[in-house]
Amino acid sequence: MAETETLSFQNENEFVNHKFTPSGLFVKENDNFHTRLCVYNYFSEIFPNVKSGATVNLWFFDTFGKKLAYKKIHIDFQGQLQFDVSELGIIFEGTCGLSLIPDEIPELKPSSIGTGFYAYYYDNHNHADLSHEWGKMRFEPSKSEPWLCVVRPNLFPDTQIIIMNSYYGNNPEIGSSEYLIRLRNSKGEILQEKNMPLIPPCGSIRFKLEDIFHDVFEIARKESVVSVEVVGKNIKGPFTWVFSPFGDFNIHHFC
Amino acid sequence: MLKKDLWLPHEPRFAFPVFKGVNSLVSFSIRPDFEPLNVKKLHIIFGYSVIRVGRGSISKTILELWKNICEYTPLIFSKNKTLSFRLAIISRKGKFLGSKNIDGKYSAGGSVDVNVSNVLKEIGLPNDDYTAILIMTRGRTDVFRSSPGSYSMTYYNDHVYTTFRTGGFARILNESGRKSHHGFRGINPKIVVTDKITSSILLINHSSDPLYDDSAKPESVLIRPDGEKRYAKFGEIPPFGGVEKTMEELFGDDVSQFLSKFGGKGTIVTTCEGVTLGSIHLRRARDGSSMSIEHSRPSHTYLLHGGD
Repeated sequence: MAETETLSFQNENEFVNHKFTPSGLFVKENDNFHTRLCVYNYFSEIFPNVKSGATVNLWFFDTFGKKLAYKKIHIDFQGQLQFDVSELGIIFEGTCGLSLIPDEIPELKPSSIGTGFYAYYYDNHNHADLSHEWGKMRFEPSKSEPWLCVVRPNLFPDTQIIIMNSYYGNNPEIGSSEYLIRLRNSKGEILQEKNMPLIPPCGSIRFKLEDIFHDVFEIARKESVVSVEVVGKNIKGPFTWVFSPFGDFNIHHFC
Repeated sequence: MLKKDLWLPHEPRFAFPVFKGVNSLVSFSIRPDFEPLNVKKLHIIFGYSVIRVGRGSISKTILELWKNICEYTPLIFSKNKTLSFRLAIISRKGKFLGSKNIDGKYSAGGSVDVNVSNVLKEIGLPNDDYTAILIMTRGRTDVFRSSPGSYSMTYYNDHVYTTFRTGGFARILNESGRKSHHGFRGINPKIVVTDKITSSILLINHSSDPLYDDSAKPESVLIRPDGEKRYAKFGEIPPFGGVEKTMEELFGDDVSQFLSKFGGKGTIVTTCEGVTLGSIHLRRARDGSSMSIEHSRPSHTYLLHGGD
């Protein structure tokens, strides 16, 4: 049984229930590209004698951080959910938050508990990709670790970067993402560096690497290895989105 | 069983599959804030021996402390604070086939990018399915026995492109006498089996001990969204072996019909008592136009440690 609610504000109380904090992922939905969110009631395996169902809570945000939809779906003991975001009937790109809350709440030590789930991204031409969830919602400002990942722009020219704001609290003055992006070589030397525009709370951005570093192909020709570093405030670990020249693609976290 | 000194106990490593007919690349970027092991961080290592391994047993704790002193003392006093890498190639049945030292020494912020397919040619191995292990000479000290960054495995040919990324470890795994495991549980709720798509799981029976010699015999259950189930024995995975099984191989040629009422969607839960396994999920277009790969994450860790 599913129900949709529209909420006009956001704070920790809206998202967190019994320490269960939504984990997030990138989401995109349009006529040719789709996202399916997949979760299994793993409490059934960890506490098999309790035989508890669970509630899946799903929140969706556009790139500006505007909340577009909320869904609450109950699944049974050993139940599962493969939620096609197309069911929302909205064309958008942004992020989701997902929490899995068992009917019978066990005693758990951590003060904040994320949810394990997966995205199944696919297009209309049978290309697809898989990603596990990435990062819990945060309600206080946070500094990121320096995320670093090798890119191969000359082998795969359409290399894109996705940055998601990690802050889902209700204070936009402290919640914007501030970050910079660097190119490094195999020795770790910084080749180029750009300060990037702010991303609002709950928001995200996707850009082509060549739009930020116009000469990235030339740099990659000169260097044996090129990596991208992203570091800043209020950001989740970034993702790469790489398209092969033949149509297949991959969306994956840096680390 | 592999070669005794293929890696040293403190060297983080990661085992990943290589597929016939698909080019394989692996890269590793060292976090710019990586700090080589120094005396100030010794309490983390020795604390691990007492809290994580000893678990109250005095004799086990003393033995672990001694092993850790032997492992890490040379690293502390070594003048070379860079990382070097080497790649080992293992057959899918767990037999050591060859290895190659990767050129270069790498510091914080640096990256290595290895064409695994070229290494196979250099070693003289044919284009086939393998398991590769990328080993690095140093790990992090702030998060004990972890790699200072993540491995990135990319697979591509004229049709497919996919990547997965994860950390490497020097944790004690499947090493009798040093650590006992409750068992392995891998959950994949994104199974799709249709006339155009198939899904599979690939399990690697890894260990921190190169001389590990125990096979694993996991079991799988396929759960349909309405709760109907099919059970299967996954089959034996030899030590250091990597075995991939499609849903058809596990649950019968009619598995797509079994799932057809639900658009081919389902969940597979695979378990194996007493061991831990590397677990990888794959999705392929049957016409060869797409391949997807991701590792699984153990669900109990969210409840024990809270997740990321």
